[in-house]
Amino acid sequence: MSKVDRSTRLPPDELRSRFWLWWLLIPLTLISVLSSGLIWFLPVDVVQDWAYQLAPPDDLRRMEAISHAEFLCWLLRLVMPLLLLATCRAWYDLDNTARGLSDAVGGLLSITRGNAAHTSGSRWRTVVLRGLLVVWCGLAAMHLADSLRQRVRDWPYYRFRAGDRVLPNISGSNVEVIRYLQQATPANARILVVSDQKLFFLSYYLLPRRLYHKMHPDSEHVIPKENLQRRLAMYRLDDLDESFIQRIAPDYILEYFEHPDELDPATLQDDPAWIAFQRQIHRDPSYVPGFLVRLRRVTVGGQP
Amino acid sequence: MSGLVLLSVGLLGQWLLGVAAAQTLLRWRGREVPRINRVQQTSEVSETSEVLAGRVAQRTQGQRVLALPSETERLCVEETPWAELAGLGLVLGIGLTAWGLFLWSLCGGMLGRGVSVCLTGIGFAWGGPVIVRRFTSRRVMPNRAGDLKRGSQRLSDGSLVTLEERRDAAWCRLCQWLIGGLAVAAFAQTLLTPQHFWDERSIFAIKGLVLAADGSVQSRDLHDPDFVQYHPRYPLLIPLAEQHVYALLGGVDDRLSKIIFPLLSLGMVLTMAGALSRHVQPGAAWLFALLIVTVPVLMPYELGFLSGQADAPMACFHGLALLYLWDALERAACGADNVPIGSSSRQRWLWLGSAQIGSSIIAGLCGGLAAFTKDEGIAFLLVDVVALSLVAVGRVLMTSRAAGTDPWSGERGSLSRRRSDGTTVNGTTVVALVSVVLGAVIVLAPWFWHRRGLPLTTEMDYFGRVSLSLAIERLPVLAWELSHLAHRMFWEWPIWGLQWWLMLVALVFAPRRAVSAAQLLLLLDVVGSLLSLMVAGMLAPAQLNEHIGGSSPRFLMQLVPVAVLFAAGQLAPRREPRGTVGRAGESTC
Repeated sequence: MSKVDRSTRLPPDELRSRFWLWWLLIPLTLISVLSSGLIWFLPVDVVQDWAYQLAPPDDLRRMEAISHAEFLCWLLRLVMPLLLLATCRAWYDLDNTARGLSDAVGGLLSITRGNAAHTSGSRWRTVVLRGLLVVWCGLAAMHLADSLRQRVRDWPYYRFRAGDRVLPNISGSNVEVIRYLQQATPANARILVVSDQKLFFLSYYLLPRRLYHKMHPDSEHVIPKENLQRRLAMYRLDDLDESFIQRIAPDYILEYFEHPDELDPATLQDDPAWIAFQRQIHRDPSYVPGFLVRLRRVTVGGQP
Repeated sequence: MSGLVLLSVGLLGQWLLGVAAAQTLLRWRGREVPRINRVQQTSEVSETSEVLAGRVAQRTQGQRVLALPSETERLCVEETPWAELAGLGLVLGIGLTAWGLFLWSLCGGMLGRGVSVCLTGIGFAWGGPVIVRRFTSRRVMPNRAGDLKRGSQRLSDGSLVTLEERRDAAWCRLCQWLIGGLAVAAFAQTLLTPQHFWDERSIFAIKGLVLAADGSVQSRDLHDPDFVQYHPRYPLLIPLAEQHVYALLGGVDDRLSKIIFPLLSLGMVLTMAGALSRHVQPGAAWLFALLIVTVPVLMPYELGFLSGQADAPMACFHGLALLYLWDALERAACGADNVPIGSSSRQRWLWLGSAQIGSSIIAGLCGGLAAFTKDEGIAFLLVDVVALSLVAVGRVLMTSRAAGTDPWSGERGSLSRRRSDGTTVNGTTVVALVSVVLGAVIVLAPWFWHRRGLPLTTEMDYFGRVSLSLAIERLPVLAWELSHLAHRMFWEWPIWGLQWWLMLVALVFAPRRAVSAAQLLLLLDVVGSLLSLMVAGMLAPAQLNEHIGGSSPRFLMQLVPVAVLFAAGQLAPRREPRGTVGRAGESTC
């Protein structure tokens, strides 16, 4: 009875708002109750198994599907109870929620009315402004959904790992060289590199090892392209003068070339430790890498 | 785990440090500068507020400069909105921490956990009392925001809540919830991705790691032209902020160090909302803050606030620099219309100058921090200063025309002129200009001194390449750049957002307002910044379509807050003091 009394006191716009809120809350409550219960009582393993069954018969795809399922499962476990709480709060104080929403909409409509003094009001200006806002919000929602999709895609690889564990977004050859140098050199090593590559990522992930590289002036402002489509001008070891090497005082010298024009097949297996490392990670005792890596320790006097 | 706890405490201390600095600067800006509305009904004024306002009117910057208002005038003392204080605290906390670490290291101190913990302690000792006072002090002025939030039908000053106020407050709350939700999403997404883009690792994060390992900005490797890093002369704000995180954490994790970027995003949005709400209807201020946070190119675009690149922080610092310049000019315009009749030229000068100086110093600091973030900041700072100078010259000329006098031949020593209609138009934009330059110089002088010793490998050296012959030779590329930028801004809106369309619509809807000093500054700044990009494209020793084509979305991202701020200045209904008689949306300044 008291509820009827209270609702009859509400002004028409708030009553309308209450009506719409009612119909919005019913499905939201159903969804949040059911999904919260389901997602918390259903073990993650079961969802992962289900994803595994649905994935294409490919190891990588299956691994991704399992991880995606895990991510979505935990996301829903966090979001759905929050949605449930919000709906409970709305039901608990339905009149005030309805009034708040009605007021908020009224406030927005008031702000976007194109009749401020300096805009010399007119109806079409209001329409344009509100139309722009609607498109803006739609666009934002679309991008937000897209970013969520991207996080789901990233999860199998990044999880909560730092970059030095994942080595993200670099070429496979760079990853192999980084892993090789990490095991072949001490953490405080100074490494002089001659290469036809941009070495920023190697330098970043190999820290605290320090990488030094004399960059050719012609390649300073050249952006490399994928799959060695662009050849960078570079110095070879013979081009470096003795004083330069002495100034750097490296512990190691690394020659690292990938471009086919820079490779001499006879030298590809010059570094036995590198070849052993490659054969180990590729699990192939006769594997020969397609690019040159030659690491040499520098003896006293600056000579390899 | 202890590292994470210390990091959390350190970030809190960093914020408190920023809050304390912000509070100091905002108070200097003239929190106590009174705003007079001549059309108030005195019956609505509570005794307390009038007594306070009267006392304040006598004391601007500690000097007795203004007479008490007449009985028909009402004073309205504005208080720094909580959102502005909190937001500016976040931004200044990160910026000043990095700058403090830089100075410390430049003076020979070692970077590491010790100094980072000390900074945290300073933050708690300085900022803690500010926050405690803010929460616990009994407000003398009516707390309208608090009353509205509690849903009271009557405010603490006794007046009734109007329907408009209730609606505005409800809309503000909805915006705050949405912004809060988006901030949580930004934090989550940031922490789910390690640094994985080109610039974030090769320019900034690598320097952060070297600083963490060597403990000094004087690191031998950072000065070595052959140490493998990109842009060795790029500024150190982000590397130092990341080093601060590593020092508190007790180890390196390039995923956690990205936490500073969503913090900057949140800080920028809150500051925009708070500062705007001092000028426009609070609901409109929060609406435009919401618009900024939903611009796709800022977030969730991968190279925006979700990444460790410097472009989004640049947008933050540059946006806030322009916000406070805009604020200074708006306050000056407000003050000019409200200068007590009969006040002397010195009183007018102090009145108007005090309204601008604090905001201008904040603008200068933010502009300096922008240039300490990325080299584009230098160009932005130059553009800001030139735009402000043009506005100042324009105002002086307009004032002189209105007064029918030669601009420089008036009363000796006075920079204010009285217009024929009885209001004062001020020349104190010069004060703003000087304050901006001063603020920027304070931040940048040590950096530029240090920068001289850094190598030039991979640097484009734009200023060294400036020559007339090169400009003439590369003149044809302007056409390509113009069409490219127009395409990026207006055609590719589904990718980057609608901010440029919003700016255009705002300009078309209120062209007369666009020529007011504050709005003109923003317009000139956007045009000047675009021109600077085009000139950079002409000078750069790189392939044009790769250099400008690849970087234009990130450059335009840095101008997004200015575009939205311009739209807010054009379209948002002006804030009305309570009880004002006037049309909705009409400016009361």
